[in-house]
Amino acid sequence: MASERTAGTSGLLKRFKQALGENPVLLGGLALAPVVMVSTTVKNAVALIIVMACTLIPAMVLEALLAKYAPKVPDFARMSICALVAAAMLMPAKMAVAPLAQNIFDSLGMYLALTGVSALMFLHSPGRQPEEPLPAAVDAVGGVLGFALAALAVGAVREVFSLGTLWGSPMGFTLKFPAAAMPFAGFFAVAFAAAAWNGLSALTRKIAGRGAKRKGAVR
Amino acid sequence: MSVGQFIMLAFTAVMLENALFARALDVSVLLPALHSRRTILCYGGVITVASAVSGGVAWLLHGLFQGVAWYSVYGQSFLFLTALTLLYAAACTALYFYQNELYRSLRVLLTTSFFNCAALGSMFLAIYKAKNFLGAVGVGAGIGLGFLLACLLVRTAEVRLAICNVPKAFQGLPIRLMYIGLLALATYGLVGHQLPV
Repeated sequence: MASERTAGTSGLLKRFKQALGENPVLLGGLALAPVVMVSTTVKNAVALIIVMACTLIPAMVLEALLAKYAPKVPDFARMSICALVAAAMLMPAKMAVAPLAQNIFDSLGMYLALTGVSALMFLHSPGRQPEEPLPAAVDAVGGVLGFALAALAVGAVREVFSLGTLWGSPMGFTLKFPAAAMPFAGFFAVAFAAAAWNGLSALTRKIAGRGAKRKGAVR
Repeated sequence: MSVGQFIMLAFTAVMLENALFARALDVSVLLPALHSRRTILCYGGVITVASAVSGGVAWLLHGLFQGVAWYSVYGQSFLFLTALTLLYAAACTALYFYQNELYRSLRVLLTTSFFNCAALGSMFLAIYKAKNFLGAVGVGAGIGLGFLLACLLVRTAEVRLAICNVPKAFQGLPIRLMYIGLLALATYGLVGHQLPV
């Protein structure tokens, strides 16, 4: 029993690392609209992360529960129920986001709600099948963390370049590029972040491959 | 007058404020849609219909709930996403029970076309831009057609990018996003805007 529990825990940990490594924004191209358009400051990025967490985690867990305990429910009905739950979670998500800044809803606009629908795109991403509830929760948390990484990186860079601040605090830069807050700059920022992620993944795989070869040689 | 507004708003949504280049709506759907010309036309067609219908529905909902305090602060997003879900469920239910073979072949397309940023985005844009129901439908239709046009432009570039020597880290998504960013900058300037200084 203890060994089963250890195998289960290590399996979940491995799955979590896998979910974290397969960044949904930088590798999968999911949830790009909110990151490109409104991840122009760190505060905006944090607001998007809160909305994504509030919608994605309940939707994925519910989908897994429906697939396990009500397998005869058609796909579209399962998707509709998860979408209704995500829609309902938008309201508490907005309440959670409100304290971040006075004009946070003005700066996010409709992209706050679009983050909720982007979470649903994770559910029907290509090749994805419904799983057990606990692995689904782990995948959802990994997906939110991956989204958070992309949104924070892009938001921080764009805030520093466009406003010279970070979380509203001046960084002491005199040279500013207000155009960094425009949509085209968002596309470039995500493109470079995705390229950096690709490069980092390739380097990690190379180092892991060399380590495995050395272990094999020693044996 | 209404038909004129329909055409004007649709044209604005296609050309001047393209859903993809000006608002980054549907960037995530662009990637699977670019598989072939056939998939571009299929996705573009269904997204146009979904966006047009959802634009009209948003107009009706806005008219019903406009004066309610809860709606303007927290309820609008919830209502719109719920309405979109019900539209999706209605379309799928009809196909599931009456044309099951067609439902099986269109299942993924329907899910992607309804649950994406363009369909929900058209609901918000319709109530801000349109002055009547037909205008709201026009905004939605324009968003779908703008997506179709953007797909065709990006597909044309993909053929040329495939023969270029793109660095390994930039292959795939990064180079596509850079190309879309360049087109976004170009359309921003063509429309007559100037970059902030």
